[in-house]
Amino acid sequence: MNIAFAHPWVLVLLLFALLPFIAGIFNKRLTSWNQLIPASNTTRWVNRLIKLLGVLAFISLVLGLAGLNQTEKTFTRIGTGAHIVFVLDRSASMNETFGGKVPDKATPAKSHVARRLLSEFVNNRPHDLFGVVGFSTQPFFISPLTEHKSATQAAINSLTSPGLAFTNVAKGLGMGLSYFEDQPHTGSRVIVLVSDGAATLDHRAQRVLREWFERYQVSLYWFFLRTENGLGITSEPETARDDNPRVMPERYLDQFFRTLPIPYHAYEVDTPESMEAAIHQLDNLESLPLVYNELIPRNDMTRLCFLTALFAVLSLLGIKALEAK
Amino acid sequence: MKSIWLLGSSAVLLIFAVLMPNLPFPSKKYDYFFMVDITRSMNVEDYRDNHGDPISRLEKVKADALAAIQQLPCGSRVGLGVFTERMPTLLYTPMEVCADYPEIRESIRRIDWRMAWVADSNIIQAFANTLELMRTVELTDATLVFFTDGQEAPPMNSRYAPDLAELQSTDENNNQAFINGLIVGTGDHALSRIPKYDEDGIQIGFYTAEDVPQGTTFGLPEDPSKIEGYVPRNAPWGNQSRAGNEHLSSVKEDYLKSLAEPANFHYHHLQTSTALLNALTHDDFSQRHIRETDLSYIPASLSLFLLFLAYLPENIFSRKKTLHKPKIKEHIPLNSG
Repeated sequence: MNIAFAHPWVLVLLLFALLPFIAGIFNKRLTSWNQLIPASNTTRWVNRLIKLLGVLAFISLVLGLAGLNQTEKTFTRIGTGAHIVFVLDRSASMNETFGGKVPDKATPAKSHVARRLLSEFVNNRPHDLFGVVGFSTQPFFISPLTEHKSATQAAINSLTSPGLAFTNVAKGLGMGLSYFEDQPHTGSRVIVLVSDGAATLDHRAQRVLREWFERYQVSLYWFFLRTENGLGITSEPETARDDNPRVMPERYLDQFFRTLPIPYHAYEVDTPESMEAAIHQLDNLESLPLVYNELIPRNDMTRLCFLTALFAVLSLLGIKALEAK
Repeated sequence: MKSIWLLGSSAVLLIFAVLMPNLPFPSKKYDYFFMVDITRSMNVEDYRDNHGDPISRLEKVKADALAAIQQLPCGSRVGLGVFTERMPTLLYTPMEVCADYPEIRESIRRIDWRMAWVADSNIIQAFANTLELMRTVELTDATLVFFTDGQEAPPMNSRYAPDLAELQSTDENNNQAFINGLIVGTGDHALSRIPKYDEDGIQIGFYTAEDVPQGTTFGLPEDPSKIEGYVPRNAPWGNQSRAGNEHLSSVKEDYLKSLAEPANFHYHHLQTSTALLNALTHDDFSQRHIRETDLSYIPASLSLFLLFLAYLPENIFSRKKTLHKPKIKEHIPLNSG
């Protein structure tokens, strides 16, 4: 029981609970001699009961006024789910449609499609923890791994803001991996990289990423939002001269990801429908047993207190009505 | 006399307290979009923390903004963005300050000047672009809180400044929403050196006069006759090297006020979190909303008072007239004799 009070200072009034021991609700009567009315055992018990009812009335009223509540509680449960970090590309080209054009009403921009589908995905996974990282030339921290869906939704909305500069995948992944640094290892750990381009990784970045992926045991999903007629993950070089990371960064990034000692899935997405299918597959794959915390919201017990007080006062009222006139 | 009516009314009031529904009650809430300058001049350490140690403008903004957010009434919302050069970006749309406080706290703590994707700072353009961004992402109901020190780097040519009054005008032909807001100037009035960092974030000194352009060289000058060594094609900004102290930074209050005025914004100079909170909770920014409010404490406290009266010893105010004490002083044993 985690008990808290909204207005703890009201608890000073608990001193009132001593009143029933000092005074009673009955009128004092003159009697010629006390010993003429001997106290029987029953009387003693009834007297104690009346005092107790008084104490109960005062205590529950004061507790109610002090705003007694059970604080937010988390229960640890076991279900299926994952810790998912979205690493979102915020480069300028995300503003275009899959056709590489300026978006209009019928064909939304890639970033808008991604936002809508990711937001639906978040809503459909009640027990997962989500975190969001954005990156362009530099990574930026958007929201931490959290079970609060409202926060994650607000963070995914950042995709609606116009894109920035270049695509620096390594730094974005690095920040995404750092989210798992001090997380307990339960359930699956997933990084979902949503990007529409790739970049060459230097040796230092490759070494660090390999080490971190291995250390944190994070599986990687790459949603590559391919622009129509653009180069994709699976594009084959036409000539040997083109077969280098400068010309075909997507191909080389994919090859690098394949060498990582972790589960890796790449999805080439070139229509809103194929993105939906890819997300659906992610939904099916990432459901390992997960120890998750279920949040029980704050429980206001004010009314319960008042109800108890009402019961006590009504009983006292009944007793008072029986008082000899 | 101990009346039964005290207990009776106490019980009736309690019935009210238990059965009373939550009543709609007007209360205030706020909806903010915080836009934070993360350019290099925000690294100048010209504020002091509680222990008297110097902290940078950016750290000060983060600490005070969080302290102010903690004081906002529940139901208020805060969104966050950062800008560098002329480009603002949205980190998240407004979140509720009570339920999502841990996320807001974490994300504000993690704001870093190294998030900046380009250098330079072009405050007035960034400000104009932020207004446009808020229209693009449909945040026009939120109050823009623009944290900056007003240091333009490189200095800008005022001929090419955007017209803020036009951006904020709401007449018929440009059907756009007016955005309410506040510019928060950060920094001290005295000039300070701007720290310089290497790519790993280690300070390697301060910017010197040679490191930064001391005047604008963008576009065409307003009045060429005033420029020494003016040559229309080859040296439109003159052929003399200019001295200046653009490598030093202070809060440019006059400049920021000149931005706030045409945009109909408030201006506030960041000093303490309490003052910031007062500036933020100005009546212009508050939104009235009807909140279901639990008022059961009113009948309940009355009921407590009546119950108290019911128990109050009746002779407490009239101690002196105690008539009930036996006046016989001698003890007469019953079985005497």
